[in-house]
Amino acid sequence: MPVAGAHDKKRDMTEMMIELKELSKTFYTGFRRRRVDAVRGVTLEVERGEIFGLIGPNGAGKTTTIKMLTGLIKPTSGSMKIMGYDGFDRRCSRKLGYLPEISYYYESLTAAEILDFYAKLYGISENRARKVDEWLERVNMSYARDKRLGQFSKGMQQRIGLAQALIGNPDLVILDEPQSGLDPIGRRDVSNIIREAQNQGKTIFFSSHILPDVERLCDRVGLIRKGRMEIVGSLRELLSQNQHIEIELLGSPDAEFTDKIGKIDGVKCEVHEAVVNLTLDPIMASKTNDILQLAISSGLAVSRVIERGQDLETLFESFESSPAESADHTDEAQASSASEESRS
Amino acid sequence: MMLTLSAFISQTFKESIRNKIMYGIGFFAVAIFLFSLVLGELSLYEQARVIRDVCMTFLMVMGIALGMYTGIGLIHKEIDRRIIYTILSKPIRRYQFLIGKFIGISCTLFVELAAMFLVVLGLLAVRSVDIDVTLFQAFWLTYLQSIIVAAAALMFSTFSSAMLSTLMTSGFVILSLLNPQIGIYAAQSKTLEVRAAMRGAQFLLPNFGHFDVSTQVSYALEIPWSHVLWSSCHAIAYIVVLLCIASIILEKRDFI
Ligand SMILES: Nc1ncnc2c1ncn2[C@@H]1O[C@H](COP(=O)(O)OP(=O)(O)OP(=O)(O)O)[C@@H](O)[C@H]1O
Ligand SMILES: [Mg+2]
Repeated sequence: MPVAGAHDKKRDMTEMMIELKELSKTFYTGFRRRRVDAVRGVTLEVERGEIFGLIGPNGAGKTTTIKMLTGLIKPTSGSMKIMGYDGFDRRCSRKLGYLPEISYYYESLTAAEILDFYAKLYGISENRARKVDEWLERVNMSYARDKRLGQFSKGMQQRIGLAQALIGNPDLVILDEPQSGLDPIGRRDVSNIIREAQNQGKTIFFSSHILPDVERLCDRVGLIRKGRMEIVGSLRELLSQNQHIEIELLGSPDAEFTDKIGKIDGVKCEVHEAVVNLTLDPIMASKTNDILQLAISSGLAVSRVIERGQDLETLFESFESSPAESADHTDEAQASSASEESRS
Repeated sequence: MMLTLSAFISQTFKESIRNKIMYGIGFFAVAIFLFSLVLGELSLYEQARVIRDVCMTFLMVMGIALGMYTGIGLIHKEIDRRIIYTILSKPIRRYQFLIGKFIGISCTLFVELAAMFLVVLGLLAVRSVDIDVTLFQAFWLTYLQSIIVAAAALMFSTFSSAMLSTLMTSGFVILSLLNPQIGIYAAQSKTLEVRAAMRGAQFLLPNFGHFDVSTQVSYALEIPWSHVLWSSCHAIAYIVVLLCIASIILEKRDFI
């Protein structure tokens, strides 16, 4: 019994904030009603307290997915649960903050007035002025408090957008490319705000093209392409795939050492004067100790051993360069890789 | 609920007042001034009649034009600038957005038209023409007409492009102005279908004939208060229907 109790508790803690099942959106555009499958069967779960990053090339369907999550467009098929409510329920909008992809705000209102406006829409009636000032401060816009938004730069508008998304103290924050249009400092500020929001127990779902930011921030990422979710997984797992090991040795190797190393498959050896660089393929990771011993016994000094995973960019590129496949093709590929796994 | 509405009302009002109100009023004042220059030719009695007639007709035209302009701009601007995305994802109902916006532009239109009306009163005072209650009644009816136009423009713009809504609103205005005549044509028409269509249009469209009191204004005749009251009810009922249709459309549509 205690085990079951603990299990239940765990389930409570991992409350799902977003659950998408086979979510699809089809647009019919133009006079001929040409069919565009913007999102095709996306299945996804995001837990409370996570930072989830949605990445994918232009036109992949990120914005369309996000618009379904925020109730702006209705899915063509599939099911969607936000914060436990089916579909898009107005009860969840109270706990939802959203920053659209490109947004401009009323140009003749001042920064303070616009935030006051959004705070009112969240139904905040007490301490509104204080909250507004607090958020202006948080996004570093206090100096422009009484300036009209018509005079704001893109990055300044983006900061206001971020403030309006967070001013209602939402549980779930959905940001469509929050870092776009920002300078490096602005991007760092955004990252800090996102992380701080996570520390307050909020769940953040954002899309981005800026992979280093995604890599730095996210717990889990999803890669979407041509409307399909190609990979979803924890960032650490994704990046540790294809992890190789780099060893740097000091000293001049003798012929015997280079000979022995050369015979091992999956190890690459480069010698520059008194420095030897070895690169071990992922399958050789378990042999790291043996190789190090060999090096030491040949009189070389170990200066560095680094585990280097692939970064998001290579992962992204590897998907980009693989040819577009039809639905059945993907399924086949997955089935064959699964059977390979079971064999090994 | 009240907080949400007040947010939309004050935002819409501030936005439109700060933006372009001065242009409309400035244009109106200049036009009135130019018009007053050519008045010298006329006899005094004629002057009074012409000033009252022309000024109030001009005010009516401005009312319709402003109603159309602000009504159409209202939603399209929000969609173009994607402000609507941030708004509709907030805990509000779409009809609240619509009603708040409508009340906001109604206030704006009132301020704009009232400012123009003051210009007219100024001219009348300078020319020592009588200022009577008929003028105020005419102003009120003009205002009602302009907010009906704004509501229609708002309704059309919930489902069509800015271009198309301009066309449809213009059609709506022209037919509504011609509403009294439609009945006459319908009576003359021989084809049953045409007659039915005309009667239908006459029934569906507001009758701007009720709001046109130029004869009474020109000759300083009294307008019965019952007429003003009845026309106000007519206008409000019509606006409510338009806003209901607009809400239903807005509730159903995707924002892409
Ligand atoms: N309103 C629409 N009508 C028709 N097609 C649309 C519409 N909106 C998006 N699409 C199509 O759906 C696909 C996905 O678009 P979406 O905007 O979701 O991409 P995205 O991943 O956000 O791209 P980006 O990185 O450029 O923002 C694209 O092929 C686009 O052409
Ligand atoms: Mg996008």
